[in-house]
Amino acid sequence: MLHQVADQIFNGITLGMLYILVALGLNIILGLMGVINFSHGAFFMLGAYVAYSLAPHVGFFPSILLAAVAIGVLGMLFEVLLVRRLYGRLPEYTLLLTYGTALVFEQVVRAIWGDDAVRYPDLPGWLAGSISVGAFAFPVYKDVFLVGMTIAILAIVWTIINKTNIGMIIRAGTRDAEMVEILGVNMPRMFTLVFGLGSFLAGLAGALAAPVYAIIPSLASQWVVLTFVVVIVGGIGSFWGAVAGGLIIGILSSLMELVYPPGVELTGFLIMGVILLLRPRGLFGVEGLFE
Amino acid sequence: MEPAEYAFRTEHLSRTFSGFKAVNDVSLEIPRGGVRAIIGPNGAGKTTFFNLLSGHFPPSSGTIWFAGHDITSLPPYRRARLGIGRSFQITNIFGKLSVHENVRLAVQAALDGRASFFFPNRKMGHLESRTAEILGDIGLSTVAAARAENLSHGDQRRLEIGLVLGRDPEVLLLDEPLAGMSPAETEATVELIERIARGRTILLVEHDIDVVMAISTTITVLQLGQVLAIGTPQEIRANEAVQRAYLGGLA
Amino acid sequence: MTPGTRPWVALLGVGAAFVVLPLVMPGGTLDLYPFAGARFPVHAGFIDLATTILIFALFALGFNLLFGHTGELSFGHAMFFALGAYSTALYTRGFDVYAGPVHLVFAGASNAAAALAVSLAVVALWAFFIARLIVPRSSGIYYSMITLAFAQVIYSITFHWGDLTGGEDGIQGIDRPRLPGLPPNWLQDATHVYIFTAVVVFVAVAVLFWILNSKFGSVLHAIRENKHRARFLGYDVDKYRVNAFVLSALFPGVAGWLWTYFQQSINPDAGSIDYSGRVVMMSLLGGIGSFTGPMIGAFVYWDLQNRVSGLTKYWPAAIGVVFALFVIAAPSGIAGIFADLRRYGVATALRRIFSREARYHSDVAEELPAHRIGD
Repeated sequence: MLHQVADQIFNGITLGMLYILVALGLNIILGLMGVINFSHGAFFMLGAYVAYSLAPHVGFFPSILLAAVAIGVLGMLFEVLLVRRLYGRLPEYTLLLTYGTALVFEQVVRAIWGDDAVRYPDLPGWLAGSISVGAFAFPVYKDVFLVGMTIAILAIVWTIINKTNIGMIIRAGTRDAEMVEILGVNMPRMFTLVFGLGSFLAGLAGALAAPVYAIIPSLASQWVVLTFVVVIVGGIGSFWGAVAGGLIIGILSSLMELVYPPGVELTGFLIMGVILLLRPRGLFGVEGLFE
Repeated sequence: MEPAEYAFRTEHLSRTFSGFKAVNDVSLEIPRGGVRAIIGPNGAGKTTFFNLLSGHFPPSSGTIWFAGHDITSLPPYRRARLGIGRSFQITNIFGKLSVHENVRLAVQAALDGRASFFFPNRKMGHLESRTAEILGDIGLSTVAAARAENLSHGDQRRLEIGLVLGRDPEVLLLDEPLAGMSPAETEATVELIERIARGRTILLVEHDIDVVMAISTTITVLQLGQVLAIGTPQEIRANEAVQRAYLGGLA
Repeated sequence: MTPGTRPWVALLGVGAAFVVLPLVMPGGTLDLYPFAGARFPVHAGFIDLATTILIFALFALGFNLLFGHTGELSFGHAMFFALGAYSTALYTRGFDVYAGPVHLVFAGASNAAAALAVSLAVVALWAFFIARLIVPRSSGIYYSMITLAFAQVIYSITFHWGDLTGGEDGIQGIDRPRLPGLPPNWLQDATHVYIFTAVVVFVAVAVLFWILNSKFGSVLHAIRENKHRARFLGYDVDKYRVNAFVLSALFPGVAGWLWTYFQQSINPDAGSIDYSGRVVMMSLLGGIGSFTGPMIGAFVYWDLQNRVSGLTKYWPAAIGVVFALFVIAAPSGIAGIFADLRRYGVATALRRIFSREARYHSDVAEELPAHRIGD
């Protein structure tokens, strides 16, 4: 019994790491630009598919990295060509536009890769096994590599946001984009970069998920809702909110697998409901941002 | 002062923003009637003080009374119903609607606003007469059908005041009503303010010192979130501390 | 709606449109594409499509009460459609399940009016419950995110509580009800189903019309324009928002009731993001700022889907593209374009599509519901 619980906790951590990356990506964009990219889930999905396609040609590591970068670039193009046209309008319109594009992305994926699930090629030997510690066995990829990689990326992002000039602009811009622009910062370019960074994170999460989770076209809509829930629980625009929200939802839903399997999906929503009741701004959210 | 004699009374009112004390332990009574101006150098806390009185956000500490009621924790719509009207420094009208609709909505809020569900459209008559009256008061009868956001700046500021008049409030909080106006517009609006001041109390935040001096009954000077001086225009003009605060005097 | 339009004229127009609709369907006399077959005598086209359009028009109108008129975007409105549909299905079929230790059993009944009452009650309860949770704590896109999440709760339940809802497959073989005063199997005929639907939707349209033309409606518009100022005028804005939410949920609830009888089956798709998104798209395409917009949008959407799905299996992409274009260039929808044409003439109307500046300016005050001075 303890074994199963521990297994599920670790499954939850792995899942949570992915949630964190995707939610952080959304949070960065939401925090600075005040808009939601409904296609964020599609970017996650594309990250997985691109990694899947590249893997046989360039090998494991490059496929992950290239896929993430590709999605980051896609995000920047997306911002420049489409999202930018809606500045000055209510953020609801960006939500609507990116919903329309999400439909397009999903169909594009179906057209290129088909409706059925595709399977990522086998992982290189040393990643495929598991490490035994005492009575527990930890799958190397899920529990060591993925978690480790995510923590590394989070550390880098955290450093960027908190220790660099660009990060300062991002943090200041969250509160007062106009003021920052007056100070001479090229806000449109900042927006593009931030959108790219957020999308990069989503694509990276998808790429990391590819080897161990099902790669199907409906990933897009599944992950969009999940990301929203994580963001609501953790708090809008918050780094630690994404971390906390991702882990909590990841772990608790995985544990629910043991208690009442049909209720796994509902776990996240239940947590969200509780948060809304007790702390509507989210665990680490800033008051008044969307009230 | 008896409750009936003051418009607002605050006790140890403070508001802090991330460590910065915008309003710092302000205790005062603002008497009823007349035009009571609130002035002070930039950053003195005038707008924050206004926001506290009108209910934009709750104070960090302290209490606020309005005509005998403790309104400290009341949300804006409740304060409006008690008789506090507030106009905004940045024009805050219903841009896409017509001037007429803007005022009618304000009147409707006063006369029918409590009912938050629908009922037949028929009885609009009583709203219309009051709406027409206010439009006349603010001098916008001729442009009643125009889209509010298409009005000139001066006319928008007057519509701003018109919205407040909808409820016929006892106390009006006017936040820089003359902001950005030409001399001609200023003159007309000052005349409007003096007219509507009859039988009401007006709290005024305004940077145009000449106007403040001319129309105010009393002036409260704030500096760094605290009250520096309160007095008649003459007293304030002669007050050394105030002169120093403004670095160059008011004369 | 132009100011001064007599209400009954507008409603008459809607009624006439409902009568003409079947004729415009593929294969009908007035089929817009002149390549169809039999034309004379007056011949109704693919009537099921017409019924579908009306049901979704009703769904979209309810949604638009909240989005176009109150300014709140709910991305989960399909949950009310699903609740109405499933309630009707379960009322008609009956059920026998356990919710934990509690035994829920119902034999099933065929009374359409009762089924409607049950559906509306369920919808209203859920709408009220989540509105009280969401409204005071959020607005804008945060609000949208949360409504989407709550819709997924309903979807998840319909998908997973198989004993009650039939799970992924849903419930099949639901009998159409007997309508009072009509022969027992009257609703077996597709044309009769259309007539029934048209009457119900027409009544609902009239009710919506009445709501939007009331003082309540004008406050909703004020809230949409400047929620902040509405508060300072003395309106209890959050109470209006909650009421608007519940009201806007009832219409999809009725639409769900119709849908179950029409399809004679129901499955979780009814509450999916897909369905929520469709109704958003319909409203925007038709025009969120106008009363009839969502109805126009429902027609355009289904017409588009019908034609494009015959050409490619990737038709959602085509619709997504059209929708995205409208969001960027014609956010006031088709009704908005027609209004521009009427108001400004062709040149300016086109300019407003292609230029951001032009789009933001308007000389004309937005038409609030017409009220007659001196009443």
